[in-house]
Amino acid sequence: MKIFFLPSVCVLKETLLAATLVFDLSSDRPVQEKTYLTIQGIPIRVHRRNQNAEEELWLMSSWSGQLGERQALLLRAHLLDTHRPGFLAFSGENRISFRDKSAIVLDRDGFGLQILWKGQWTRGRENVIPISDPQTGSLDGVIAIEGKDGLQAVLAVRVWGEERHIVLYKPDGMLMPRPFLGSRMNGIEIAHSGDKILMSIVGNIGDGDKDKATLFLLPERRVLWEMETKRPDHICAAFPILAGTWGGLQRDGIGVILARSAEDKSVSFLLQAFEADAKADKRPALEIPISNLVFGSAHGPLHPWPEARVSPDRRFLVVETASFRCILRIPA
Amino acid sequence: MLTVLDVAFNGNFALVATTEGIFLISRDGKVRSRSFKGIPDAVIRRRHANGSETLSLRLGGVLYQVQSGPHGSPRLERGGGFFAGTQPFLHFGFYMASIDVAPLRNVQMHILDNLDSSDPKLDPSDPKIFCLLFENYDKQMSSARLLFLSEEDRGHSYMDLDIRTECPPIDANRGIIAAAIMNSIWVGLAKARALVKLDGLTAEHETPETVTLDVLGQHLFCALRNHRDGRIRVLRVQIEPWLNSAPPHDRHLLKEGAMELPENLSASSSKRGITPLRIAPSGDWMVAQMSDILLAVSLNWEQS
Repeated sequence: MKIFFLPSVCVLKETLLAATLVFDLSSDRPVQEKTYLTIQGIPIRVHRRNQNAEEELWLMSSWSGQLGERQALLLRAHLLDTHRPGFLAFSGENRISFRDKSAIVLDRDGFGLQILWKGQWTRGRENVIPISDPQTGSLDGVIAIEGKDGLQAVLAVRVWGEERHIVLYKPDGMLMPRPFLGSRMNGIEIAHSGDKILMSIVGNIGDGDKDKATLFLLPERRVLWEMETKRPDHICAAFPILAGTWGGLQRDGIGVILARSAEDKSVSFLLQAFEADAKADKRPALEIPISNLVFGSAHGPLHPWPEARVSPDRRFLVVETASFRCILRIPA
Repeated sequence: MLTVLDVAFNGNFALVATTEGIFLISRDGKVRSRSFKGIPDAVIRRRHANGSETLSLRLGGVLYQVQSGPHGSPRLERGGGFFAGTQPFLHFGFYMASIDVAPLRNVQMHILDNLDSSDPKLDPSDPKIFCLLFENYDKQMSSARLLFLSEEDRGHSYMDLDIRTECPPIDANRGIIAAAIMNSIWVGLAKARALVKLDGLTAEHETPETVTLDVLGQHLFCALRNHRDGRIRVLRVQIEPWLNSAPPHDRHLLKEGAMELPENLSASSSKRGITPLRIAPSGDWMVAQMSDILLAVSLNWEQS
């Protein structure tokens, strides 16, 4: 399941199945779960630069016919506001527009997405995100980041068997395969201000026995901070923190959610926040247990890798494993 | 057992398409039939603005509309509002769109057509044709792809799901779409390209057999079968609350109807042996099947 946060709701979407779960996070009432069947497609997460750090969910619905003809459609997820929290809807759109006239559109040949930096079409394929690529596999998801001057970067998450790649697209046309530790789309989080983009990635490494969280500065891809854990601790989610925006951190940093399954299979979550200062020791600047369960239960094994995300407003943690699904409130 | 493809209602009679022939059944239970050669690879059920429905079949690459003949017997007439190409393409004249059916295998198409829908709330970008693609007609749930086709979109959005493909329990009217999928009933807005699960509608051991939207698109009629005792229940459900915020648990939104089987079949054992095929949009009768026999079953909603 891929996890998205639309205003007031959390959406858990299967890529290959029509099932989609929506949780209303808008009020203090118990969190309600609704199950939808929705159209299928490759998800595109758009991080807008606005006050609430809200994100958008788009889909590229596509299939190829037996004669090689491609059918593709861009759709935006929103809530029809008949009554709060509304009915989940997907509307067909021509393009994902950004404030500097940049846009993401369907590739003219129908084989992927085309990034139009500042609204310009380019001749080469360097700004095309293909649905399938012989070197990096099939497209699993896209993350677009809008800064104060418009579209700043686009990340394509690609899967080839067990291998995962993240490809970064920048306005200067650079395409850099394999720049980051492989990770699922849920493991990538963004925080940005001015020209600065912080990105955290969590991934499972080695023989599946270790997890790693890394904080990058984009677009240089400079590593600011990293940490590894060993079992029984799992890093299930992380989020970048801009200096002075959360948890009293005075420098840029990262929040890491550690999960541990006890002998009785109950799972506990601990948030550790670190300042990204290479010279300092790696003790957390902040440590908070997360135990306020607002939906579901947290009981069962954490293996295989849990899918988890922290909401952009840093108020909720959503975790899904093969055996449980839960939403926890993160203390302010 | 008869393989029923679909049922369309027009006033006091219903047209039933099967793999062997077409049937016309009236509310009083009289059945007339006509056989045809070949197996249809596309079935189109169309709802008209006046509430009536028509049924078209594609046989050997040619589209025929099921008509009521001069002596009350059904017949097939060439035409039916669509230009039909050859496999694997089906060209929709209205949208100038071609559906490229992906698998190399032969694919059956079941199309719900709402083009005539006169609802002013619908706009050109809202899907008005829903096309179910699957491999075989099957009484059990099998995998199918549901396409949402709109006038403006260049491509088509779709969802893959499990549904009974023989007389598929799916209906669309006035921008609402409803279906029995994976043992649950779902209802949605066509423009949302999403259906929400009607939680709490079926009792334990009950599975939905058929769904129909009423003429105004305000209510949903469904028939549910209890797998423990084989009993069939018919329900009328208000749709609007389900499209709003939280799932309603108000029992007043549901009404259970009574089935009145033809006199010669009214023994309770017969009630268990019937398979509801489709409820009329008027809600006052349905067509059911008992082995190779088609039945007209009256539905009464007056009792509590």
